[in-house]
Amino acid sequence: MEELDGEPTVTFVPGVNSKKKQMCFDWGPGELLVCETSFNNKGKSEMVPCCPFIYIIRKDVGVYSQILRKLFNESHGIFVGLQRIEEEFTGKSRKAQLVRVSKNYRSVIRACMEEMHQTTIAANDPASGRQFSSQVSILSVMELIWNLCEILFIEVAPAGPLLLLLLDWVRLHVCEVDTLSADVLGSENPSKHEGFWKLVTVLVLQGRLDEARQVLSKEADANPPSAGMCRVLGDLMRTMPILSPGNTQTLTELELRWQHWHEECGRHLQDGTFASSPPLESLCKVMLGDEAALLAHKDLLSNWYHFLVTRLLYSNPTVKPIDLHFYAQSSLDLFLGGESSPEPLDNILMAAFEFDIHQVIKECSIALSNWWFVAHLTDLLDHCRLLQSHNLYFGSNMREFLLLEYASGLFAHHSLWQLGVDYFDCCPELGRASLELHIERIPLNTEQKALKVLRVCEQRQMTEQVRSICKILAMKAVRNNRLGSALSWSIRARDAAFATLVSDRFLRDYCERGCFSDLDLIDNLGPAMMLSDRLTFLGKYREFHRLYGEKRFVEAASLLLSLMTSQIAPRSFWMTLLTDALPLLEQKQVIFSAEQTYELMRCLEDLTSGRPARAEPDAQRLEAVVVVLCLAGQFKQRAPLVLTPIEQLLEETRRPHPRGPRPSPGRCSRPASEGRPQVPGPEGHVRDSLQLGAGEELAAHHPADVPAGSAPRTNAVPCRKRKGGTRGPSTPWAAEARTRTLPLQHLQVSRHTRQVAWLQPPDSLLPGGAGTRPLFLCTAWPKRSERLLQVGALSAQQEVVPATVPGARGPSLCQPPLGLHPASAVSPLTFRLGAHQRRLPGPVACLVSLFPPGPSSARTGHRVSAAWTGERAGQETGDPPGSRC
Amino acid sequence: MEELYAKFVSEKISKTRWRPVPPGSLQTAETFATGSWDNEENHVSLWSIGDFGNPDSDGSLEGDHRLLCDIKHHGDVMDLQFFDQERIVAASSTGCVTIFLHHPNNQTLSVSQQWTTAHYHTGPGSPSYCSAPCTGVVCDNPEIVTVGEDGRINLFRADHKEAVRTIDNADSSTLHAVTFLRTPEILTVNSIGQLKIWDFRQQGNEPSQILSLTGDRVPLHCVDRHPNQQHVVATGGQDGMLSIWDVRQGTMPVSLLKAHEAEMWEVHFHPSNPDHLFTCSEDGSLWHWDASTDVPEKSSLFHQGGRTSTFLSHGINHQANAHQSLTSSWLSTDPAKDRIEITSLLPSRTLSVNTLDVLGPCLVCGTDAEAIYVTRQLFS
Repeated sequence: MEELDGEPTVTFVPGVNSKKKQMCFDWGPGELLVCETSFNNKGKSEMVPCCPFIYIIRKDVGVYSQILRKLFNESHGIFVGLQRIEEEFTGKSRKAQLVRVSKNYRSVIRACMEEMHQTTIAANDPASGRQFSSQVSILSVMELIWNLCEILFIEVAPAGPLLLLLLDWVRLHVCEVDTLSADVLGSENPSKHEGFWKLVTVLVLQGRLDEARQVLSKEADANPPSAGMCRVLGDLMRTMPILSPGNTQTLTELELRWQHWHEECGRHLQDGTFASSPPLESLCKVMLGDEAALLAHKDLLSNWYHFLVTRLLYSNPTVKPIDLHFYAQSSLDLFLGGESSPEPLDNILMAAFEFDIHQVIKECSIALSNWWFVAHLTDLLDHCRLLQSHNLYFGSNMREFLLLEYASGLFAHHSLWQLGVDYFDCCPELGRASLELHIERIPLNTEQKALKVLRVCEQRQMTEQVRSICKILAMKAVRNNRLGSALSWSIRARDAAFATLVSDRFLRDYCERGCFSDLDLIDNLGPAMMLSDRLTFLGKYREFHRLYGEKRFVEAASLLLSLMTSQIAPRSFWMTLLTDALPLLEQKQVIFSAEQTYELMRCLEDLTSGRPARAEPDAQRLEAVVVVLCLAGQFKQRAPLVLTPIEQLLEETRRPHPRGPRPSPGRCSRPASEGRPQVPGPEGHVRDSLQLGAGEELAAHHPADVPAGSAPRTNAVPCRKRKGGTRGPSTPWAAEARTRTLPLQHLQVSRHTRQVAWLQPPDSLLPGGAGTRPLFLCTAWPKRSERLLQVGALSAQQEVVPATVPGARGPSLCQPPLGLHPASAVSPLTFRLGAHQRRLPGPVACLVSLFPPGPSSARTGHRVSAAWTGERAGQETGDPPGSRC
Repeated sequence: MEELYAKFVSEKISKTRWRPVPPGSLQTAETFATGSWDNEENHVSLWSIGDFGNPDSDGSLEGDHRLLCDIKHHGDVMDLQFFDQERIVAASSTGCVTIFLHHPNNQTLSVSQQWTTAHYHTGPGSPSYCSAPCTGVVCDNPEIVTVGEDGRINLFRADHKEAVRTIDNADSSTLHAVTFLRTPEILTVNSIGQLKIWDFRQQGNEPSQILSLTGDRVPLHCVDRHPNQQHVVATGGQDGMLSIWDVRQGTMPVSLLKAHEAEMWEVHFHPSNPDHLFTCSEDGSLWHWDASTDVPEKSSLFHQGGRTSTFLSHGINHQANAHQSLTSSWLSTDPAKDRIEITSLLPSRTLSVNTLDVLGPCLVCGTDAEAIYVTRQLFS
């Protein structure tokens, strides 16, 4: 680790004494997971963790403030507008636009500050009042810095106007004078007011000479002896040459006139014009730019940059930008006078005066509590084309790096993720990858939210994520028995494998109940039917039913036959189809042509001959007999054809089966001529075929049904009783077989705890239900062979709720070598502890910060996070644990 | 729109509704309710746009809307309707339907009635009961109809503890919205692009009529019925398309109008001026559709953000064409006489505009950018 830019901040975790206990942790995208561990304390089994909870530690506290949310939302609009400026404006109008944007940003900060200020006043409890007022001061510092940057970097004011802008800057931020002014001028006798001279001095110090003159006239009125002196000083104030915006005079002219005026001031002082009035003399000295006189008013100047601007005003009003930093440095030194050392704000302003943008941003990152400021300022400066040379050595430039950091913070927030999307869009290098990583982890508790997330993905052609989200929703729907919904989601994702699974569920439900559900969807599949063979079959099979219901028997019959001959129907369903043919065969009129009857028989033959090896249930043979008899009967009646294959088949089926009873004669001798139209519906042969299917897992996964490489990894369809563990552990989740899992009442740390880790599969793969995020605790028993994984889900309310997900791959695999934060170049080190910890009593202990600042670590961090991504991606495609049956 | 007030409220707004003005009164709308979504803690809030004389102490400007009161709401507010002057019905993503009562005396809201398990899933993955979001609610005193992701339709009465009527599995997909057609008929739209008409007089759980866009099954997200002509219905779909239907005839929409670039979240006919229609969308736009113009030479130019001259002559036009508008300008299928003028009401597009409501000259809309926009001079 290279040198740090700042001291790491210490965050206290209640209940843990880090001097005695060890902590383990894991990085998350926006948070840190921390718990106590006893990793190296071998043999001390009597040690019990004193803090039995896992903590979530958040940085970027500001994100959670209600008022700052307004700042984020409003500035988001400005930010998006700024990104469009690129193509719309050029040249001079472009600069004007950029200044306008900068002013917009500042006005948003100001509005926020005002509101925060109101809240501070209204706050009735002192603690929150303090918190608000500290926020106010942070906002005001932000605005101060921004304003200076705007003057120096965006407006790039030349000598002359530069000082006017700086004066405005100081006036805006040293605003006590207005209350003082109202106070003094409102009193009965202003010139006798104790703050009178203070007011005049402040006005002069701020260069508000017109006002100073007016106030001074009060003194002249009230005190005739000094009237003459006041008039002289007033004249000096009035005649001081300043650059007015509309004026066409050149800088040289101004300098000449100013020099003249300056000499006149000096003459008055030397002549002792004001000798009898110390306040007036002091004012005259100020107007001469006398440093000692200025420093005598240190308390009124309140800070060194005010001193700097006043000093420049009265000694070098046409200061060039390039010289600014000499004056700034000497002003700072003079003002502090070696008594105190510069504070972070001083360093930031100084860096700005030195035109060192990089340093400004770096110092701000360290000193301010959120990424909002640096991200937006850097972006704006980048649009001013000031940062081109500042390419960082880890992949992206500084603007992108800060935007990524800010956007990640937004994504960590429960509801600001939508803002984050646009920020990621503006990061050409890593934005998309980050968005992909984050977007899948948004909890989807309603379909409407899911649609919004989907829209984000679809607009950016993130097909993988679209598929994943649709799959999650489809899976949820299946779990909730909403097959229609599940099917529409898999159609939307164009997920053939899942559509097959859902179609199977439909067919199975049909077999169980004898009627189709969700006809409104199945009847309207349209071209989507072609998505998977099974879905096509489902749609066509339903069409057959409809034709049958409409008594369009001929069409129904040919459709039925084509389902088999075209091999669309799964073999396991053929028997059902053949039984469905029965009532058609039994009709009085001929429905199947001779040709079609042959086909039908061929199908039957295929079916029976195709699997002689299998021990089939007797019901099937029985069924076969029925079909054959009917077929034969029909032939004998209508077309006296005797076919050898059929005879043989009959022979075969009549043979007593070794393991079963004889076919029931009653079924065999069903009169074929009865001819009553049977709807292939609720009862009768359809039911029989169900039993028939049971032996071989209805609609099993034929290798041919599933395109290679996209095998349905989900087992969302609760299948029939599985035979003796034949299903291989095909997914990482299947570690279940090797680990013991316990349903936990609450996630707790035990003395065996070795490590915590985030586990963030896409939402909803957890049984915890909607809106939960999983987190994860790994505990190792003393014996190495056994490992216990505990998984908890984090609900939207930030409460840890127990979840009984079987353990995943050992979290040690998920853990990067040693927790380097994915992006830790410069980090304002503030954390917010998980809300659930509020329940905890106990002493406050200390945890040394784990965020190593400094750009040096960021490179590693990025690599780690990339490797991590790959691994997570591997997990994501895995079998969702909740879908097991 | 000259006077468009925006206010950032620190929560994403999912629904806004004007409080109805008492029938016969000359008052204009001045109170509206909002519901939030996707926050750690959601609220139902009441706002007032009434004049308060001078700027308030909290610095809000005149004409700005002011929070009257709010109350916590469990789960996202999925839909919101005024039941009467005092009561608001809210649909929650937790499947719960709540009636909130507003006490104007001390400006508070309280829960007056609640059906906690109005919508739920039953499935293999959900052991016994798993709540399903309630997506839409519509009121016609004393009846309340709710629909949800579970495809269920509930009919409640304000004075009954239990549902008066429940149609389980009314839809195989998610029901997105519901509206009354003619009592006791309701109309629902679902996520596979179908409109279904249900008649509560009929037993069983089959709709009395299904209308759909054939083929592509584009989900429909919102529906509104023409206030005067009950057979005219407008729906908005996932592709941002506006469809006008005549439920008396055919199963296809009368006209399809290409509108927004993303999901259309809400569509509303102007209640007293139904030649005007308003739509809002995920793409961040809010549009005003004006079908009252019948100046033939006027082409259907799209006036971005500008006020069109038709608004100025609006009153006169309306008088002159009173007989014409009876035949409904929305059902005219003549493409050559494309007489609809569209105005975009929001200055810049950012995040989704989730909701809007119009009443008299007032319009309110709420966005994911956590802002509420109000205008009081819709036809200025």
